[in-house]
Formats: sequence, C-alpha cells, structure tokens
Amino acid sequence: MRVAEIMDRDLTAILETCPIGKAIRILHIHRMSGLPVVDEENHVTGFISEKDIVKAALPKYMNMLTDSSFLPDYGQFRKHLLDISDEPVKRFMRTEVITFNEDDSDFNVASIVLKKNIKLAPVLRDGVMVGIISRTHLLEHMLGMEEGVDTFINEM
Amino acid sequence: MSLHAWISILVFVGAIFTIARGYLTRATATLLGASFLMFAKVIPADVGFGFIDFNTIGLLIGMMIIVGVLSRSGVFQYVAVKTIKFTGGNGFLLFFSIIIVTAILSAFLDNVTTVLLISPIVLSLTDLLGLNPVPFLVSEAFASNIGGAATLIGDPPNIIVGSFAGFSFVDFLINLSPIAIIILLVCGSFLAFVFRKDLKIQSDRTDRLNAVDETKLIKDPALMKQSLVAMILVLLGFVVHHILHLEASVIALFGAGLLLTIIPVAGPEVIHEDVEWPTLVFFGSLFIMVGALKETGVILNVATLMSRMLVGHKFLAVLAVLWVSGFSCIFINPVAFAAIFVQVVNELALGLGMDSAPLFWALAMGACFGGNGSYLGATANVVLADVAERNGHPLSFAYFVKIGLKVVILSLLICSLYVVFRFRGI
Repeated sequence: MRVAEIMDRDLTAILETCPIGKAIRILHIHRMSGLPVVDEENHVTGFISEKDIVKAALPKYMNMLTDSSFLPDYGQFRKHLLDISDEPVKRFMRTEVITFNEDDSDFNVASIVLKKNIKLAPVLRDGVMVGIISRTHLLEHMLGMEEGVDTFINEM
Repeated sequence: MSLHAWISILVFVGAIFTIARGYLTRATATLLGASFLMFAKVIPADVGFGFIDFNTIGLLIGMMIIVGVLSRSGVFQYVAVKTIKFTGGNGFLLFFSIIIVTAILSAFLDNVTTVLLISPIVLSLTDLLGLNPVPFLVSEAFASNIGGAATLIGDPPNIIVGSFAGFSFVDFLINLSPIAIIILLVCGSFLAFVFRKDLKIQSDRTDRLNAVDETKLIKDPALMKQSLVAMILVLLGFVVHHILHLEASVIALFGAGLLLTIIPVAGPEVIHEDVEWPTLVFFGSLFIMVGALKETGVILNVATLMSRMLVGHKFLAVLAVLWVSGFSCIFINPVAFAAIFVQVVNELALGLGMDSAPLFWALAMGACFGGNGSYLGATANVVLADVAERNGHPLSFAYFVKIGLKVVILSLLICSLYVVFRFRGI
C-alpha cells in the first residue's frame, strides 16, 4: 500500500520561529510527542520532539554522567527550561529529518520506523509536507481499522 | 641523505601535519604513512614490524581493560565528589581539591580517561555552586598532564621512554613523582592566583554542596571492593616488576586477565568498548614510521648534529633535551615526539659518551610538561576544550596558550632546577 493512501492528512506543524514554550503547548494540545518544523511555504526544515526539548533544557554534562542522582535538586531543570522557552524552535530542532514520499510502501515505512526508532514522520510531495505517518496510524491501517479502534473491537 | 631518508621525513612530517590540521585522524594518518613506507620498500616490512614496541602496546591494552572495569564501579567519580565535598565550599580548597584529585587519578589512569571522568563532575558542581567552570576545566587539563608525568603508566610518553630505556615503575616514582608534585603545587598556586576572582563562592550556595549524595555514584559496592583490591594488587605488581624481571606490560596484561576472570562483567564487552583500538593502531604505525627514520639514517643525522653542538657539555645536553622536548610538545603530539626522541637521545648519549639515563628523564619531563602549552600537543587538552565548548564555554586557542605557555615555562624552569640539583655531577 502507498503511504499516500494511509497517511494522516493533518498538516499540523510548527514554524521555525515558534518559541519553545509555545511549541510545548502545541505538542500538548495535539497529544503529539513531536512535530515537523516548516517554513512559510510548508517545506519541512526540521523536526522537534519532547525529547529534543528535554535535551535542550538539560546541561550537556548530564550526558557525560552515568548517573546524575547524586546531584541535589535546586530547580536547575525548571530554570534552564524557562531560559530557553522564548528561544525559537529553530535553535533546538533536529535538521536531519526522516521523511517519506507519497509513493513509499507501508513495508518500507515500517522498516525505517523500526530502524530509526521514530514515532512519526512527515510525508512530502516535492519537498512540501502533505501529511504525516505515525506508528499507530500505520498499524491501524494495516489491520483495516480506519473507522477507529472502537469499531474494530466491537467486530471482534 | 638518501632518497629513502627524505621520503621517510616527508611521510612523517606529512602525517603530523595532517593530524594537526585535522584532515585525518591520528590513527588513519599514521596507518597510511607506515603502510606506505613498507609498500614503497623504504623500510622492509619485517624490519618495520620489528620496531613496534609490544611492551608499550601491551601496557596500554592492559591498563585500558583494568581502568575500563574499575570505572564501571563508579569508584573514580565517587572519590572525586567526596574530596570536593570535603572542602566545605571554600573556593580555593575546592580548586586545589579538583587539581589534586585529577593529578592523582591521572598518575594511574590515562590522561584522556581522567579528564572525561572528572570534567562532568566539575561542570555539574560548578553549576551547582554558581561558579564559572572555565578556570576549573583549564586547570584540570594542566593537572592531568602534570599528574601523568609522575608515573610510568600515567602518560604515553612515559610508557615509551620507560620501555625503551628500561626504567621500572619504581624508577619513575623516585625520579619523576617528586618533581611532578612540586610542579603541581607551584603551577596550582599560580593558577589559583590567576583565577582568584573566579574562586569566590556565595555562602548560600555551599548548602547545596552538602546536599550532594556521592554514595549514589557507587553503582555496585561489591564490584567496587573487588576492583579496589585488584587495583592495589596491580600496583603492587608494578612496584616489584623489575625485581621479578618482568616487563610492566606483563603485569598490566596479567592483571587485566585476572580482573576479567574474577569480576562478573562481560569480557568481550570490556575489550571491545574500553580498549581504544584507534590509539593502538596509532602507536603501532608510529613505531614503524620512526623505524623508517632510524633505518634510513635520519635519526643518526639529527643526533650527530646535536652531539656536535653539545660536544663536551654533557650537563648542557640534558638541559637542551628538556627544553627542546618541552617546546616541541607544545606543537607536536608528545607521543610522536617521544617515539622519535628516544632514538635520538640514545644516539646522542653514544655520541657524547655519556650515561643515557639523565637524557631520558629530561625527555620524559619535557614531553609531559610541554603538552600543557596549547591544545595541539596533549590529547587531554583537546578533549577538554571540546567538552567545554559543548557545554557552552568555548575556550579560544589564544586563551589556552596565554595561560598554558606560562605553565609550561614555569614547569620547565622547575625541571631545570631539578636537573641542576640531580645531575650536576655528570
């Protein structure tokens, strides 16, 4: 099956100039773990996830410590997060984005999703975002549950 | 000089240049150089391989495995945090505790490993105390090079010099440890004076230091106890290796083998992750390239030139080797420099008809302490500059050199006094 047939045509995305604080709000409202970042013409220029934001708010030396539990909590995480909440998404987004084309097969998507450990990825046509494909979405469609999980469970 | 001699020089200089400019990694550049020299028959392959010092390589492998197992227990970071906490939040004591812990660890661990273990502790605790981490990080780099100079296993140039000259672990303790301690204290005081404004801690922040719970750093208390016992046994082995007529590498490798047998960690995992294979390729290739310089007569030419200038001045020769090594290692990788200069010094001693030992000590001191001059030479400095930059504190090259050069000159002056005191009778 082509990705175009199973993708979500929801075009929710974040602009590069969007502040981190607002991006967190958008992720929360849409219940997404991450979203593509686009320019004014809907070209995908990056991807920002909750994980990227947490990483940005933590000092880099945390990565070098095998365990940071020896450090007392003096509100350092909140302070760092507040510090970056007005910064544009562009500063912290990942610029190497995994994307799919409308003609890619579901098989290919499933294998890349597994290999790259991603939850969702934008689907492009000539570099412009036309939808997104997520792990849940992919699995639902494979089992013919387009109408929704409830119908599927009822049928069972 | 022959065509082959010129080719070996060209290949060597080319490799050092490409490494310094960052075109190729040190393992790649030297592997290409060494294999080319054998491919072009500048040096026959069997002769080339004969130059690889397997005592140095074995000692490196053994220590990498031992340290790899020990660092998994969290003991090194535990010791560092415990010591820093002990200062009770006094800025100067904090500064000295960091450089002393770094120097001591570095005397027994590889410099880069030490810096990678201590720098996240320094960064997290300076963040906690609201201090600028830069003075602490820079001083940590200096301390790791100074501490590394203290023992046979502390710094690769020492391993090369020790192996070539046949110096034992105890020889290093007698000849280099005292001078390293003096230099650490003098340079530490100098650095504390330079950075005095950055060492003041606001009193309300010191409570945070007391809330640090270093016991959480110990992942596996049983592993830590076993590791400490193993480390003590290995150190005892080093102390007596010359009495047993065993190379230091044999002690390290045997210790590594026993440690992997006793301690329930996956051997292949440690061997794969903690033995730095690119470093070993670099050392092996470097020895072959130096072998080509020796076989084609370049080393002898350099040594003859030096001995002609220094004829009749044995004492001056020791000082010359010290300062030439020190200043060269500001710019050149100290390992590469030591690998060549053990050969040069050997010929020079023959040319001047003197005991080679004082010259070898001068070389070891110069190569270790000179590395502090910039981050072109000593690898620990580059690694630390990189860590600082990733944490949002870029260290400019000029800034590093401005302080580093003073540390080098101060260290070499102290070494010169030591040379005067120790070798004036030769």
